[in-house]
Amino acid sequence: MLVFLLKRIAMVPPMLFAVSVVAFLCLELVPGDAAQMAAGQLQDPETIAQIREKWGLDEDTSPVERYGMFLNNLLIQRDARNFYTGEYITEELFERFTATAELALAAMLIAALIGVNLGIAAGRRPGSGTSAASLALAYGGISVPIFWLAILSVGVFAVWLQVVPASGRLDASLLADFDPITGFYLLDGLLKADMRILGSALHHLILPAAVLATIPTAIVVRLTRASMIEELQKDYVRTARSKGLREDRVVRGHALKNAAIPILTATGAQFGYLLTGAVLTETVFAWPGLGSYVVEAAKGQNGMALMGGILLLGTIVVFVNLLVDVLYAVLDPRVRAGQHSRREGGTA
Amino acid sequence: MSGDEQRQGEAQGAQNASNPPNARDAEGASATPSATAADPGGPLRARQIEAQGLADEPPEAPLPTRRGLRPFVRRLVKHRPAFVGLCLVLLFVGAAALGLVFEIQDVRHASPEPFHPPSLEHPFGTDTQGHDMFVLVCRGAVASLLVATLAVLIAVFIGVPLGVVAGYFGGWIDLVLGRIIDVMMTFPSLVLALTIVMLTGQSLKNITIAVGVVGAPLFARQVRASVLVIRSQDYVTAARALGFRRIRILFGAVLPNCLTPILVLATLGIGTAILDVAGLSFLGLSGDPSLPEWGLMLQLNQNDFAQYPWVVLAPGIAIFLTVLGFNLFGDGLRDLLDPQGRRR
Repeated sequence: MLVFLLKRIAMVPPMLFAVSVVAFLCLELVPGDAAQMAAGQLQDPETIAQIREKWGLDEDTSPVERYGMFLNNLLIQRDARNFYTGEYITEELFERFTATAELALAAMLIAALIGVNLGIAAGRRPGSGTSAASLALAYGGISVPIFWLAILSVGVFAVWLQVVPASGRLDASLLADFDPITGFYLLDGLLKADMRILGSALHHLILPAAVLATIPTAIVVRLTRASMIEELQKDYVRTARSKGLREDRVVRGHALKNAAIPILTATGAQFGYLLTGAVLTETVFAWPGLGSYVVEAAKGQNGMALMGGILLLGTIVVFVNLLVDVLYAVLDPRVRAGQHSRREGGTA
Repeated sequence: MSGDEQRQGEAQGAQNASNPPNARDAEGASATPSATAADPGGPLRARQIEAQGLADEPPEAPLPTRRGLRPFVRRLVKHRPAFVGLCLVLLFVGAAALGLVFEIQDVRHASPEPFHPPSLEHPFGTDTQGHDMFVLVCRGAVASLLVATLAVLIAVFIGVPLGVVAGYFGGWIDLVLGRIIDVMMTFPSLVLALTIVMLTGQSLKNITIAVGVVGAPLFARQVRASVLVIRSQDYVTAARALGFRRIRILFGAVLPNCLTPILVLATLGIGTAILDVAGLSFLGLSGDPSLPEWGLMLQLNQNDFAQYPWVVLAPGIAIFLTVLGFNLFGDGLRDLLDPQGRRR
């Protein structure tokens, strides 16, 4: 396993380098004058000259030098400004990241709870109505345009029934004198022991999280169902049953344990996707996360902000994928014993 | 196409013909457990592969030959999900044809009355400007199907050659191309497409290109995996022993045997492309706001949903059903064309 892990970890630096190059290309390839773009329409020539100097956006600087300046500005100096908001990009990104992470964690929790349980129920009786319903849900979940579902749910739950708010993370009245500690509002509410903040944050979180959970739920349901069907046919299950074990223990104690590895791996991969891919959901719910940040940057042709966003997104995925692989190695005894590489094993 | 290969194709056709049509029924309730368990996938699986970097699939059967086509159609009709998928796809192809007629005759203002609820005259109601939603949805079908198909073609034309080259030549070429594919897949497809559209300018054309480019690594990876297996098959060795030039081996022996997975992936890919294109135009990146595009309609009408639900329901359901159709049909194709799946 050590060899597998070391090999896997050795892949991280080149991946990070590649991610940074892609982010750098955002600045490099932006049409027109990048410095002017970064500054926006209203800046004075002096500021633009400063930007040009800081980022090496003139003809004398080679792309390689410019790449060095780019890394220096974003990672070491961390004083790159988003001229559209006047804030430091790194600070903005951190704030946005916690918003997205909170949403993604909540969505993942919903997906895991519903997905695994429904998948088990469907897998136990492959021909039943539950099974057909879970397959229908799985197909529906991956075919539905997520932003449309978001619009519908806002219309139904926020406008018609008025049970939840339509957008944002916190009531405006609370937001005014709220000073976040961690940036995770639920956690902040707990830390401050302020029930109003906790309640309001939860109230705002539930609908976007449920909508965002659609795709991962669909994937987890289908995978769990398929794995359970496969496992429940195996000899050890028959043995467990014939020695008189309760069916529940057979299913949850034995079969699920063996089915868990592919489910966990897929869930982990989905989590990476959620952390980064909540672009549309965040936009509809005006959730101040990374996804909507990237959209705003792209729509406003704000190369600087987009570059920062891309760098962070790519880095997140690289590390989430690493984590998933490590988890896989730790869980799968075959990898643990070094007999089996993941590529041969597969999860499907 | 080498002799060996042709014979193999014929054998395949015969196998198609002799296969009892009820061997594999609907994937839903009646699927045999092992078959379902072994293929927990479809588009889900494609996404999984996308997310995890696993694509070592066994090579799939060649396309049915002409002799095998009729039994193939018969089996397709029996395969309930695939058939339903095909019907949905055809329904929207029909809608697109109708949309073209509307486009040519320039039917727009069917009623001067805005927000007319659905009626016999206006089956889907009218929107804020009194446009008939049925006409708009049909015209949107033209744009969606066309753009998604073009995007998938772009993805195929970029991805397949890359995959073939990487898989067939191996060595450092494979290493370099493989890493490029990995990096492209590191970014969520929508974010990457968003970036490309920002860099190239906001228009439906650039959305098409962006979605195509972003989809290419999926094809490259699938084809690379197939080629790795096919490369060591006897008929390729035979062709090499006969002294055929590399290009002839590639096009004559290797590529034809990759067609099935490409076809399946392309069908599923159209569904994904429709979603991505609609998403990007929903974000307002399609430039011209007067385009009849489903995602754009949803963006323009989203605030009217609570009062006039039909202006949001109609385009959304259209996207949903079209994508569902391609997903069901694509998965069905995989089941029907995969000899391993069929034997089970």
